[in-house]
Amino acid sequence: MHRIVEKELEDYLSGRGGRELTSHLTNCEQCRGEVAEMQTLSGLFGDLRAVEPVAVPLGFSNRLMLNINDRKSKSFLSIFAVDPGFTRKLALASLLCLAACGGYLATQPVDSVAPSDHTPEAVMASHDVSAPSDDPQHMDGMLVTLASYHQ
Amino acid sequence: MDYQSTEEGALVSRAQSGDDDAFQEIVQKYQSKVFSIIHGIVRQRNDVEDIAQQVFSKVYFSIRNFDYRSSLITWIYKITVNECFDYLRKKKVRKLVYESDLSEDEVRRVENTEPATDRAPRTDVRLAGQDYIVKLLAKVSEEERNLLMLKEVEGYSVEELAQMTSLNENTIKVKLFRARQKLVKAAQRLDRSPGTVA
Ligand SMILES: [Zn+2]
Repeated sequence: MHRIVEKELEDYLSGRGGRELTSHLTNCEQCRGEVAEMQTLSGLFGDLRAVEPVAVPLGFSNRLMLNINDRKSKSFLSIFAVDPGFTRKLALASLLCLAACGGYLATQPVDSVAPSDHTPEAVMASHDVSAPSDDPQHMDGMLVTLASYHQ
Repeated sequence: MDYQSTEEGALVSRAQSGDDDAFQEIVQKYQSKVFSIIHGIVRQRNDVEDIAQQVFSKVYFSIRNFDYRSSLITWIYKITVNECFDYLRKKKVRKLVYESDLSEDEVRRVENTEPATDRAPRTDVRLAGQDYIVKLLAKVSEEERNLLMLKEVEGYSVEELAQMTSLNENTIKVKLFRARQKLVKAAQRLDRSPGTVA
């Protein structure tokens, strides 16, 4: 097809000019055929215009916002639920953390793990000897402390 | 005055920073236009709202990517047209998968009991034209389809299209010319084998 078609086609099709193309078409059969096809197809686009004004259904905007909020909450949850890679990484990180803590506790000296002032002697000694020994509440308190040590 | 400093530019900027009221203003402003674009391309009235929901959800979730190089309506128009063609493509795939499970007799029977709107192209000239041009438009690129729609359906001039897309007029003319050539070729193929091109 000749260059003039490319240059003036839009003006020609919209009926707003394209004089040079018009005169070219009278002499060039090849361009005339193709431009005629383009013109026919151009005419069909009118069928894509809505014939009557289209009413927006009542409550459209509310339904839209509900839909959007629903998607937003789903996409937030999907960070945890959908990505199996993330879940695996989280599980692995937890295990490593647990192993590190366990390792730390196992390597500490016993003294630092169980403070010496929790021995029965220390518990007995910590009680005020000057307090009246026949006070039942005081005696109960000491028994509870000793019992919890054994547990 | 550049687009970003217009009233609409300010509205977009509010929506971009997460202001839902600004987004709803955008919906109010353009919902009617979006519905009529969808209605022009997709005939099934029942699906128009679903497509419109998709369009505005896309606008909501990607408004941060809007770069003010085109006007907001040009951007929404593009999303709407793409969404319509995506809908038609998916619908066609669903139909093909469904039909592949049926015998030829069953397919014929189903087609004969489909709602009148689906058979209308054979009886109604306007719907036939609509169906035909939609099939051809499915054969060109997204950009070409949008340009053709803006020019032919919305009636924008080459100058206006150049402004809307930040391209020069000559580029628009060349793009439109090539898009029209592709349409002609697609039409020739479709006319030769009516059942296979769409
Ligand atoms: Zn020629």
